[in-house]
Amino acid sequence: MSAAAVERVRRRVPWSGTRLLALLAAALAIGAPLRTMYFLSDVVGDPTLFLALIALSLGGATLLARVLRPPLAVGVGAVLFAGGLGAYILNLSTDPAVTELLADTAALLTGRSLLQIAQVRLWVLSFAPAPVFLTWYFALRRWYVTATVAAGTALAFFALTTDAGVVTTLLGVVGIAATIGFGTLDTLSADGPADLTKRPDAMTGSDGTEHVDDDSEGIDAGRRAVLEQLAAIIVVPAALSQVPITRDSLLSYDDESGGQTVEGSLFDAGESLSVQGSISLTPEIRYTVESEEPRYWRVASYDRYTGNGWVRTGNPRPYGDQRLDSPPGETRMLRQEFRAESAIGTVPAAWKPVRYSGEPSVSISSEGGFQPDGTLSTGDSYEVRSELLVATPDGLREAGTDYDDGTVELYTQLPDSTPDRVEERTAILTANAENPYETALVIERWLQDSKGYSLDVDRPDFNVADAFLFEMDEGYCVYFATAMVTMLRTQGIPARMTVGYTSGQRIEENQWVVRGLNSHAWVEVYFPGQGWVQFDPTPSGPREDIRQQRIEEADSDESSPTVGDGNPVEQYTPSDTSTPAPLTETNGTETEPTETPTATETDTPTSTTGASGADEGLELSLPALPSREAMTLGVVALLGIAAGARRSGLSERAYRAVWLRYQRRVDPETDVERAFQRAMYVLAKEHRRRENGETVRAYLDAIGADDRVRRLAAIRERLRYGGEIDGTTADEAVEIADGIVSDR
Amino acid sequence: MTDTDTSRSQQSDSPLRDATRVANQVIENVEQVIVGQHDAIEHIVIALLGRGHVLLEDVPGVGKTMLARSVAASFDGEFKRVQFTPDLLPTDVTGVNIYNQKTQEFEFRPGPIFANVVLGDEINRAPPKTQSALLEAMEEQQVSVDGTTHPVPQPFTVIATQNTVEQNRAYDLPMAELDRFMTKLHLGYPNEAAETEMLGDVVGHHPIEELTSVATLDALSAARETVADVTVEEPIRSYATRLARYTRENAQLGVSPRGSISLLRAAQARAVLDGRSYVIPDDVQTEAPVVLPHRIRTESSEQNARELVAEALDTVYVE
Repeated sequence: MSAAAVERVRRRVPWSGTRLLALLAAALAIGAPLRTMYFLSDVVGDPTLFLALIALSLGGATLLARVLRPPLAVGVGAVLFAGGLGAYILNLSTDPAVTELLADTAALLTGRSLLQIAQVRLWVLSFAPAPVFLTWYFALRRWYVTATVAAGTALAFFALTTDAGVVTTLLGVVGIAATIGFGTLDTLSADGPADLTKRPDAMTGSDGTEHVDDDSEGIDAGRRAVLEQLAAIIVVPAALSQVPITRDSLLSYDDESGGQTVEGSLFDAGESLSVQGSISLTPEIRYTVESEEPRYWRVASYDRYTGNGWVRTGNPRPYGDQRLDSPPGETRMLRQEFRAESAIGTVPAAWKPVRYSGEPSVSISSEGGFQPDGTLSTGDSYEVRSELLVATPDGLREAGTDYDDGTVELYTQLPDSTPDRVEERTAILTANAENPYETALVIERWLQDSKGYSLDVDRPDFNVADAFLFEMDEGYCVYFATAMVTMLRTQGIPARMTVGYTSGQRIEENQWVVRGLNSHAWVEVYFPGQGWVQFDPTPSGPREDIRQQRIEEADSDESSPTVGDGNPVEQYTPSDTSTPAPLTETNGTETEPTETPTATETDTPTSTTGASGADEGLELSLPALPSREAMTLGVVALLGIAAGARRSGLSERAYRAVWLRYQRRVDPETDVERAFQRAMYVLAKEHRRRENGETVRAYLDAIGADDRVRRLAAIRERLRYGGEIDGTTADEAVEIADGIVSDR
Repeated sequence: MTDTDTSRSQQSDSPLRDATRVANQVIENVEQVIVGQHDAIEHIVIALLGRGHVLLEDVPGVGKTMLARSVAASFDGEFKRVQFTPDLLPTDVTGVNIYNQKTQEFEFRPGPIFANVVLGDEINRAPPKTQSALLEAMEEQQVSVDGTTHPVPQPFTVIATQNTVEQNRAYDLPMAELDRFMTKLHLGYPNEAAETEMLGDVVGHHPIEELTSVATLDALSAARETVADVTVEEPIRSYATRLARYTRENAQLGVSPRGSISLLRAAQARAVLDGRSYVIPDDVQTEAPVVLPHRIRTESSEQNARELVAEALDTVYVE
């Protein structure tokens, strides 16, 4: 069928199958970033407005595609983007807003999750319309390549921020590739006549066949090249995240960036924490602590709940040796000295730390604690002074609910997708509680009583808190804490997820050994006029058993952990049984057992991930192979990389590098020609390419080639045009070419 | 354009060296008379060696006739000159059958075309019928008179001149006949120094009077054989084809296959002039500007045909 006939048919049937496929692919391409944005806006609230905005953009694009010319549409897209930017800046609460915006953008492009942006909902609403409009407009206008530029930019951005998961990214890339493919088919016109003006590629050798170079395709080829690189940008990080065959890829393969574990987050004070499935404990010693009394050594807290993990918003700020604010309530000072016993990326301290001195430099995280700028190595030590809150139950009961807006916004936020039954159940449970303090106590006690403790759990697919409350009977500290924070937040009580270490094993009067298995997660609840108060909903009995068992195993082990100069760890047994150290100082006469978890160390969940770097001696469960999903994704990613490499010319470049350096001898004729082509390739790199109508002699004169090259050219000329050749001159030609290539 | 490597041509190429020597001797000889036209002299010698004919076109008085005479005088062959005029008859060129009273038979009296080098002066002033008599001889190497064909002597080369002024009194050659000339040259005015030198040379006795032949006809024939044996490999042939196809795609009338043949023959002669037994792309590129343009009819003038050839040489890829 001739091109004209194709054109006629296309005019008659504007909605050909190819076009439909191309539009579907475009929808998929823009759908991938939209899916991410939907997730983001859902985490922090109601996504209805977001959906309405997207529908509006799509409708506008569909309408305008009929009436608006492309340059104007680009203008509309720019206006949408600028408008979004303006709206975002104007609504930022901080001052100056632009500085914050720039800092955030830089952080985002270097792998920070958008979830850590405080105003993520506003961000999504501001920036979603422009790419949606542009993609859909240009797809309808049949400018498929341009359309995918818009979608690809959005997708690449989310891939850089790690918000788009592997599946989403791959879907988007597939959409982009399909859009280009079907789009090309849709707009394809018949090939022009064979081009006399193109020299066959050097590597095709002497067959003299003509093929069309990419250069002739002009602008479209340029766009295509850009997109191929874009695709590579998207695929490579996504694929790399799959490369260490992490066993936890079994556990987290959806929209979380994945891979973070409790122990992992303790190691580097990560800005996000995803809830894992089965985990194990490591008896490796992390710190020795010198302190007047045992406390929970707190590492970090997280304020934003995503449904399957936790994220800390806001940027850390530098610590300049100034004294930090104390909690508003009555406090007393506690001095602690920590010594790292293994390389680790956290500086735990009792809440609330106010002063830090030590070798490793630290920053102040957005929630008020310390985090090291680098990694602590074994033997590093530091000293922290903390202001412990001295609060009475009465005081907490009377604290009231006079929260400031910022606290409410940040610490009562829940994903819109959180099922209503969580709130309903919590409301029934706490019907009798008269104030937030009692509500917290009820929830804490209810969780301790009604849920069992186990390190061996199946990670729920969707909302961890909901699943733990309604579908699971057992869990470990992260599940308990997550559920409690969620329940508190449904009642409008500001609460946050906190991780750290329990006080550890006492070895001297004032000394504690903190092991990996002491890592723990608990809850902090905010009380106006008092500050953050710790609650621990995890039942302590079973934890104690598991902890004891692990320590005994570790002691019987040959490589028994040692402290400092190799002194074996001996249990310090004071004559009196160690008294429970309250999480919150209670001066009152009232005894509140649930409020004061015992000093007995709690469990140490440690995921079995290789990310922790520790060679755990004893692991509870080890999936032997990556899951089928992970394998499939890996294969798809590899295929994508291979295709990308081929399309972007990477494989050709590699082939050319080999072709250039290693000449296989065939027969004198082929040898001379190949030697000549190698030399010409080098000359083209060093000087310029030979023009189309330029003979070899003219070219060599123009670039002032040396005698070696001229000799090679003469040999080749005699062979090619005079048909004269012998083995000796062929050897000489190859030798010259080798020399030229190696001189390069 | 000199092949520095000579080792290859030691044993078998003495005919090649002879041919090269003959060509260069003729060029040197002509240059004693014609100053500042080295390229044109080379092209004419190449046409001689390549079994082609030459059309010289220019304004009067720039030495067209002198050039043709000098080349002819450099051989010991027969040289004839025909001044084409509007009343010239075909038989004035080809010759006539005359009744011989003694033998009582018609006998052929050859015209001026029966010579080794024929100078057709101002060919465009004669009517087409007379022109075609010359052109038949050029293409067929024979003359038909009254149904009898008479072969022209060998070697046979026509050098025609054509006046570009007084166009209204001239009969332009049709494209089909232009095609039979291997090369069409434009001499142009000599540069200032060359013209001054030339004036000093010719004001007294014109040096052409003292010009002697430097080559025998046998040597010329042998050189022609050598040229015909020059190797033209496939890459060169396909390059010539690509050039021709390019002109066909970009002009009203492009280069014919006969044009491509002429181009390669000229390139063969150029190779011999350079002392080579094979054609390289550079030979083709050197000859194309004089071999191709007069075979191309563009929408407007011939200047565009030359530009088109230059463009083809620039853009058509060469190995």
